[in-house]
Amino acid sequence: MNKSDKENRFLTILENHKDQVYRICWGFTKEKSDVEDLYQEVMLKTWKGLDGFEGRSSISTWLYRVTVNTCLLWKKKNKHSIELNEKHQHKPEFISGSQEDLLIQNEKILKLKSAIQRLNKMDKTIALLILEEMSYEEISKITGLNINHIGVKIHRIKQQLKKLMQ
Amino acid sequence: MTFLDDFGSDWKNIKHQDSGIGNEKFSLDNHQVLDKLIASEKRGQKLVRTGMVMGIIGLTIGLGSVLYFSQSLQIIIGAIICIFAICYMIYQSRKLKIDINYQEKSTIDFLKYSKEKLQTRLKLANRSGWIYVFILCIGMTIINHAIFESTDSTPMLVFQFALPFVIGVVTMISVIISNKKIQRKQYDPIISEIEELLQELKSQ
Repeated sequence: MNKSDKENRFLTILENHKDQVYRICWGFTKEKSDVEDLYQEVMLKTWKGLDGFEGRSSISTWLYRVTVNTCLLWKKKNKHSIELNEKHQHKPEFISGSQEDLLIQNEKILKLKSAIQRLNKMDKTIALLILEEMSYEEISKITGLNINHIGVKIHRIKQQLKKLMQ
Repeated sequence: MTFLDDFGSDWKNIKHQDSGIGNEKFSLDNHQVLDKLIASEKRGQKLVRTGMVMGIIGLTIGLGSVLYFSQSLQIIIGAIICIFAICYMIYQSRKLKIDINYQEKSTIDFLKYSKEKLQTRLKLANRSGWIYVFILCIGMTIINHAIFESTDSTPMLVFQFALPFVIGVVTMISVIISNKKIQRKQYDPIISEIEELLQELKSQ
């Protein structure tokens, strides 16, 4: 892949999938600055990994794999901010005022996000993929779990979320 | 319609902002993101290139001076062995890096790969370190032999031969101790987290 091919491919990916990637990063993090860091990390890995992408899976499956794998093992770089986050865990994730917040300041979504945050990491991943309206097959390709197992898991996650939101 | 499907449209209203809306930090458009990535990549490449040029200059000057001043075949052989040891170490350290392409495997494969890599990485690094020290010591011993072969004093000879090995072993012991610390403080928590994630994946 030559340089401009890579750049064009990357721009196409960004154009088509940046919101999905952003939402997954958003679901994994508690604070705004973290979403930015995580999103940039995913973009960096996507850019670096593009050379090795052989097209065995669709570009979206590939991108979601990179996103999910990065989110799962992502660690905050700043120790001080970890402490701050733990102290302020109970506070709402959104700072009202900005236009971005106005878009997402929906009570229903906030409640859902807070419930998702309480799931374990793998269930959180699957819940976020369901919200992206992915099929069982796609989730199976991303996580490596078999489809039947995913069916059972999704059922359980939905019940758990329902309980957490009541 | 099932639970969660109700949230679909609202959920999709959460968007990555660009065109300068909202938070300034998220006002980058796609081209700006790309430019940032290319700039960081170029910085990395520049550093590698500078390192390589400096290495080649150092190697040429070092080897050239040895050749010029000694004109001894034994010293040249010793220097070549030392250079080989350095090249071996560079090769091994590159091999120990986590393969970026594994990031795109399925989560299960990626987690298993990361776990295995983290478990074996420092062991391999230590083993490579010992091999490096051993080769380097042989090279230095050959050089020392050429320099001190005219010395009559036996203790001096023993000292000169033993010195590279003593330095090498002491260095390696301190490296192993610090690697153990890294394993305990950095890698072990990640490994337990990965095990937990794998367990969560398996659970129904």
